[in-house]
Amino acid sequence: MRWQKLLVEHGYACRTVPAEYGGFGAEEDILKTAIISEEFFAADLPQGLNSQGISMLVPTILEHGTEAQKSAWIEKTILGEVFWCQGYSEPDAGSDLTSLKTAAVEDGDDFVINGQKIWTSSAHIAQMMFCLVRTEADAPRHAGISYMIFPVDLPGIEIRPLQTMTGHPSFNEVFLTDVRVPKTALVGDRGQGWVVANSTLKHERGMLGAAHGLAWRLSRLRDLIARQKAAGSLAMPIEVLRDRYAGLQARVEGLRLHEMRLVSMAAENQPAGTGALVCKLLGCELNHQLDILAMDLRGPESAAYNPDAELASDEIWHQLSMYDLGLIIGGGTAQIQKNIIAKRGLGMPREARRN
Amino acid sequence: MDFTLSEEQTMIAEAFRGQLTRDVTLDVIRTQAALGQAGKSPTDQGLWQQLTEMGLPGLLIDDTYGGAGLGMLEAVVVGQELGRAAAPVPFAATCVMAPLAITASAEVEQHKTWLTQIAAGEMRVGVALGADMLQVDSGRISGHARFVFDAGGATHFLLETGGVFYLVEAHASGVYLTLERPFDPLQSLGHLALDTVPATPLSGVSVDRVTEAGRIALAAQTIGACEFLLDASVEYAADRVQFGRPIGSFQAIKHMCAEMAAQLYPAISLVWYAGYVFDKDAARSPLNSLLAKALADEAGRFISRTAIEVHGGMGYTDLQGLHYWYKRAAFNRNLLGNPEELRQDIAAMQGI
Ligand SMILES: Cc1cc2nc3c(=O)[nH]c(=O)nc-3n(C[C@H](O)[C@H](O)[C@H](O)COP(=O)(O)OP(=O)(O)OC[C@H]3O[C@@H](n4cnc5c(N)ncnc54)[C@H](O)[C@@H]3O)c2cc1C
Repeated sequence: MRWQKLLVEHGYACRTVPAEYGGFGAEEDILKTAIISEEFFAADLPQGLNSQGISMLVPTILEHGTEAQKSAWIEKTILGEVFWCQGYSEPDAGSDLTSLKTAAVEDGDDFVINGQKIWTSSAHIAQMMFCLVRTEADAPRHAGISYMIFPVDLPGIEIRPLQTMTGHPSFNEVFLTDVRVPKTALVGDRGQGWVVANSTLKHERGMLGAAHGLAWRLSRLRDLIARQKAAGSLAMPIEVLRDRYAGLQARVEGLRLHEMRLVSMAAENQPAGTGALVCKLLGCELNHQLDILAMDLRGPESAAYNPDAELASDEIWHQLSMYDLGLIIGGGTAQIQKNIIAKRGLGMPREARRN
Repeated sequence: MDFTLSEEQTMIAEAFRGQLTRDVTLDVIRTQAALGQAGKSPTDQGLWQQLTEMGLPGLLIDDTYGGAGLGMLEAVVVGQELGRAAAPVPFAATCVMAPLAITASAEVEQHKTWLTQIAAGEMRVGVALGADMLQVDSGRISGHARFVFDAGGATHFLLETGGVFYLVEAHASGVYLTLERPFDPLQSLGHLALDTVPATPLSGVSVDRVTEAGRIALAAQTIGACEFLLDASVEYAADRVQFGRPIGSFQAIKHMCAEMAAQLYPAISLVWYAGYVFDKDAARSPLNSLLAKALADEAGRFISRTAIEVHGGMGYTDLQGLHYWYKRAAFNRNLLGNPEELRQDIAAMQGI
């Protein structure tokens, strides 16, 4: 937390957040941001907190929030004092998010919310939620949605952790029963929630996502291989494993340079086009591929599982592989990413729509 | 560094693209391919002349010898355009490997004449690396060399054996050239038989550097071919109607195209970077050129077959002609190391 405060004060984290809301107030400069993050990575220093609050909520409030919302939440969020969760998905609205049903009905100065959210990461440890609800029951799908923020300890909110494949309850079901929130909980106009949320999703799928995590995994893999060689273990002499390693290295290096190119393009105000849309798809897949290669390299050791493995240990790859599989699904599945690349990037024709 | 192309590089690319779009029609491609398939040189002389005037063979040659004095990244950008057009002209050997090898050798007088002639498009050099069926004895070379690149229409051959490069004249007596029937009918590969032919050794040329350059040049053409194939697929999918709607509205087709795009972009960036590193950071060039060719070849295989699938039966025809680009990617893949071999080298180079 103190590290985070130092980083924010010196403009190494959240640097474009205006000073009046506790940020550094720098001009948008993607090159500088990229250089800072490169240097932190090279020096093996943690570059501050990364959470859905910082990466998604803060930019959204900055773009669409009221003055009161900005001064209430931004500083606390970027300093890590308030932790947020994202209440978008519902049991019947995942990829097809605009079919969401959780309803918020106007009642005097309040809205009363009823419905259910699911897969809500970190809701059990968060104080606040940013949430999509349906305020206009009769409006067409996109037009009836509003974006709201409220505390998760309000009366009528019940959070039930869901057991996940990692053995850790990282996401939750959130039940909302007659939950009363003031109208000031709205971010952006009523019925504009889809537009507001899309600016958040844009930040979530933001570029420069993948390179550091991939480089970190590659160097861990190299280190694992070096130790195995020193110990005379048999795994790497198998040519297929060497082939997989080198093939992944080429793909990771290609994606890294592609992301650098996107940074250069943004710095020159060139439109990124299709190129920016391929990063999430590739990054998540490559992370997972590196994780499972590490597992395979460890051979029979990988048949054993330690659910409480430390990050620095060789036993961590099982968990990373599962975590990364989750990211292939979360934030828009790989198939949805391909839809987006084809439609928005390549401009291919619309599918047949149901009526 | 800036990871986009400079204004100058973009202008070079656009100039070549403009010229090639005008000159390399499918009819031209078919005519030249028929020559290639018949075991003749597939080079379109008129086009070669045009491109020579634009500086193609002299790209990497110093301006004192009439070249443009540009770097490998510029050569990559041009190679990409040649690949995009499936141009029937020599590139990797004549325009990249030979000029670099000759520039690197120490005999300055030879430089002058050879480099000047290459830049003028008069001297065309076929190249063979690792030709281990050759013997050199008191300045004369004998034996065999297979897979000589850009052999059709070559005036000279640059042959590497035992780590030394030798230049021989194509018309010297004792030189017997047979052109192979290449899978890419717009490129040429030769089989040389030599019987005590006078050979001039080039000293101080690094086989590794010439190999790196050749790999980058091949990879550049492959990613160019891929760009063409993706564009063609997206366009065709918008026009072709089945079940009452454009096939591009079907998700299966969309996902094929999205996957092509996802493989293409990183490959382009990696090949550009290999071109940049070749000049600016020679120590990292061996690894980067391997990574770049390995990735480009895989993108080439996937994109070229997928593009044909997107086009259905039409993709299979000579009418549409996609197979020329498919063949260029496949031809390049197995020259100077296929991805499987390159990946073993990548691992070994890093002690893995
Ligand atoms: C680890 C993790 C954390 C998450 N955290 C959060 C969170 O904090 N907040 C939140 O709101 N949500 C969260 N999610 C939910 C996530 O956004 C959804 O799981 C995701 O959008 C997919 O929705 P779904 O699970 O309903 O799957 P579905 O939409 O039912 O998809 C199932 C399969 O069908 C495919 N499919 C669906 N529609 C199409 C289509 N049009 N074309 C092609 N294929 C299609 C999908 O690709 C997928 O393979 C999280 C998910 C995971 C795994």
